[in-house]
Amino acid sequence: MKYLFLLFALILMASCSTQSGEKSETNEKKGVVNVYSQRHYDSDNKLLEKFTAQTGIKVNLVNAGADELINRLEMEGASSPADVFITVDAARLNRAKNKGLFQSITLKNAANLKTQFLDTDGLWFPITYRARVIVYDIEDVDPTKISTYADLAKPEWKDQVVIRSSGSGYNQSLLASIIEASGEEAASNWVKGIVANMARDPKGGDRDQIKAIASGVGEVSIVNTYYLGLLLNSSNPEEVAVGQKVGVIFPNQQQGGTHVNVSGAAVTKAAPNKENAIKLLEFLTSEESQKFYAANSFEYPAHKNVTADSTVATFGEFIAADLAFAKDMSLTEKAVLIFDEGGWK
Amino acid sequence: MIGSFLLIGPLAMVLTKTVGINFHNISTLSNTVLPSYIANTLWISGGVIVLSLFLGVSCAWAVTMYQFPFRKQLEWLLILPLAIPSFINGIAYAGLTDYAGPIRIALRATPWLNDVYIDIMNAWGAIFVMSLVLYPYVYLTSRSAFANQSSQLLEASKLLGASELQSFYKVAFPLAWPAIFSGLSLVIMEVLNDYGTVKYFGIPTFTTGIFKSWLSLGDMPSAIFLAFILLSLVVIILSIEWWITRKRITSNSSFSRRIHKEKLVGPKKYIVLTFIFGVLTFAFIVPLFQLLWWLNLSFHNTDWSKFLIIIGNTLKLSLYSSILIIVLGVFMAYAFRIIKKQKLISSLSKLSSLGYAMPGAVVAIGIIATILLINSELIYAGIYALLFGYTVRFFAVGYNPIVAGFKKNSSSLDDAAVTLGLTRLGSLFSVHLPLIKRSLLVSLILIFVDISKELPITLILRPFNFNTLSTNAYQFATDEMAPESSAASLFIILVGIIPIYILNRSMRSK
Repeated sequence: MKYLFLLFALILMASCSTQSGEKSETNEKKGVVNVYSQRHYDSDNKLLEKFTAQTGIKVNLVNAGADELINRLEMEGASSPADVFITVDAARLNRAKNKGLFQSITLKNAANLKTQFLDTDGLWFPITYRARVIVYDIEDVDPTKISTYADLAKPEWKDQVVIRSSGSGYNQSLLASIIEASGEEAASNWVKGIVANMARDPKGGDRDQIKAIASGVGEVSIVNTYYLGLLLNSSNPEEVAVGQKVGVIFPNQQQGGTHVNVSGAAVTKAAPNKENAIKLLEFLTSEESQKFYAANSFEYPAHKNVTADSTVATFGEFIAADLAFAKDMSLTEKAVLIFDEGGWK
Repeated sequence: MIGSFLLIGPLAMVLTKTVGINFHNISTLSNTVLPSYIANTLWISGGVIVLSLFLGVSCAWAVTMYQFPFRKQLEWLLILPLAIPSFINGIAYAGLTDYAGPIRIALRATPWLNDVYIDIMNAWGAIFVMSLVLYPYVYLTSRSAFANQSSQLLEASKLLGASELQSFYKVAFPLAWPAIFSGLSLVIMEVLNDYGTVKYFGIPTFTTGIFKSWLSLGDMPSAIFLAFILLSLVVIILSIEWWITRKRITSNSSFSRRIHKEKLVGPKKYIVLTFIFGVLTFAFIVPLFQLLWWLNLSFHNTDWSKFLIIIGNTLKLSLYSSILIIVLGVFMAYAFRIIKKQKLISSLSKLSSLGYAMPGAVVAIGIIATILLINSELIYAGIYALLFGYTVRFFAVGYNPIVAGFKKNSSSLDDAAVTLGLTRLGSLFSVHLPLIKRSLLVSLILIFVDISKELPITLILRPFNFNTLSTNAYQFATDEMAPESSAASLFIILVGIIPIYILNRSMRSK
């Protein structure tokens, strides 16, 4: 009996904590915008709060994986409550675009965004971008010996490469860009070369690779710039020390540029609150929001006049490659199969 | 009946998504990586089965058969690791042993050991971290089986000259096996569906293949096809077990004396104590210590104000769905008991519990499809989609103990109740429910703890602006911000500890 009472008390407690998400304010009410987003970062949430403070428009947010959200948009069709779709991969933006899930809008800020990242049909818009760079042990590696991704596949780096698994979307889009630039055979040889040079089986995230370099497991790795930025600004002083043990090389500066990928946003086809959706996209691409992104997520802002955060800026200026690899998902899909054939776990 | 159709419905809807399957991707996968994925899956699940069986059964045996210092406390502390999500345990152990973790910091300060490199992120490590959080399923079921066994049988086996070890292997273990297996089957399904830990540790398994087809190749039909292969495997394992044990005699404990606990002395006492303390240290204290250390690092940049709502959401979801599952489970089990078409019924009830054998993300797709079929307006109309999803996914966890509870009530009870003028419903409430109270509580708490850890279904089916402890922990963990995820992880553990404590109290008190 005692437990029944306890149970009852717990239910009461749970019911008392009111929750705004339960009130369904999804469809066709003024002052709302519904967002499906893969970006689940705290900095994004703060930015959306700012948007509500400025415009009075309430943001309803669901975070989940890009493909789950795309599947969901497809299944919901015309009855989808979503207005805005945000993801962190250009290829997936185009996957959704090619499925007819977006609608074309006129974005006032579009002219301020870096031209090379703009969608040719204007169906989605870049927000931020990140570079996938080579990091090296500053004590043991002479950085002048490395200038391209291909260099890491050379025999001289045998047992020195630490890198995450082929399941990582970042590696998949990197390989897609190699296929796009140099063809499948070169890509396949690159995969085999890296696999032969691996110091250990791929595992962990990008930060774990940098930690492995600090531990002396390997000397070189390929990671996203913002992970190094986050490491250098970590709450754990030991992590900051790890970040200081590596240097950054922007590869392929003479071969079309370092591989980059974008986060982007689009207005969905069935958007019940189209006006508000456009307002949100304009807000996210505004100079003010772009500065906020740069300072909080350590990504590069897509806005032409906004500079990178100071931590990231110390890595240096670089030429970024275009997004040709992402025009549809076919190259990413090929990349997955080439990874599997080359034995990259 | 309707209940079971509701539960099978979403799975059937998932099956319809395989229409238009293109076998090209599957054949490429099976020619390249699938064999090694299957090998990894077998190796990892085999390892976890052996280790969690060993840990669960030996701890359960020790606390039921022997009397030793701290036994009462240890008895319930041993259940606690259940509250740690296996992915969280994985990042905690990885964080503990990596360059920026406490072990390596200490080693670097030691002159002769400053170059030591520890790597837990491999198949052995995955088996280790998963077994440590999954063995409590086996521990719980085998402990109650051992506690209910007849002491006469054990005494008889000793009188006939069997050693203690022999009586365990030849008498106690086989008799308790159906109960142990019901816990073990939960372990098997958990391991087969794990994606987070194996992905982080870099060991691709069959589930990796499912997600690779779906996410990287954008080929949902192939993904679901593979998920159904996994499901069939589980069905085969369960059916074999069911077929083997169908004629086994169970010992009836109602007329036998309770086990007399042997008081341990001398070296034996210390061996048992060291073993149990060791299990507890690695399964609970070490990860807890790592999380607390991270919390200390991230304390100042954690937004504490939002946690009240997040904890409220987690409690609400876990409570509502566990009560829903229990009510549904009781009515289904009872309906199947009084309707006598045994064959059809037992297969229906088995099918209803298959949700647990499917990756959560796949179940979620089935839920969306089913809801869209009924009324598309319902999809964001609050937490109903989530409750539906949890019910489909976790029905097995609650249903099996309930059925086991009902089985103990002999059918003459029903006859007596009816003869004495009770209606069927009346006899459920005044005869059966009081008798299976304890099974209900076990179900309730297992489901509660499982749901408070659940991630993929919550992620996809939650309404707008809705966060739970596990989505909060995941948000930071996938962003490789382990310290920032520790607050939510610790709350998940805390939310789990309270019901586990209640569970243990109720299992002990008569």
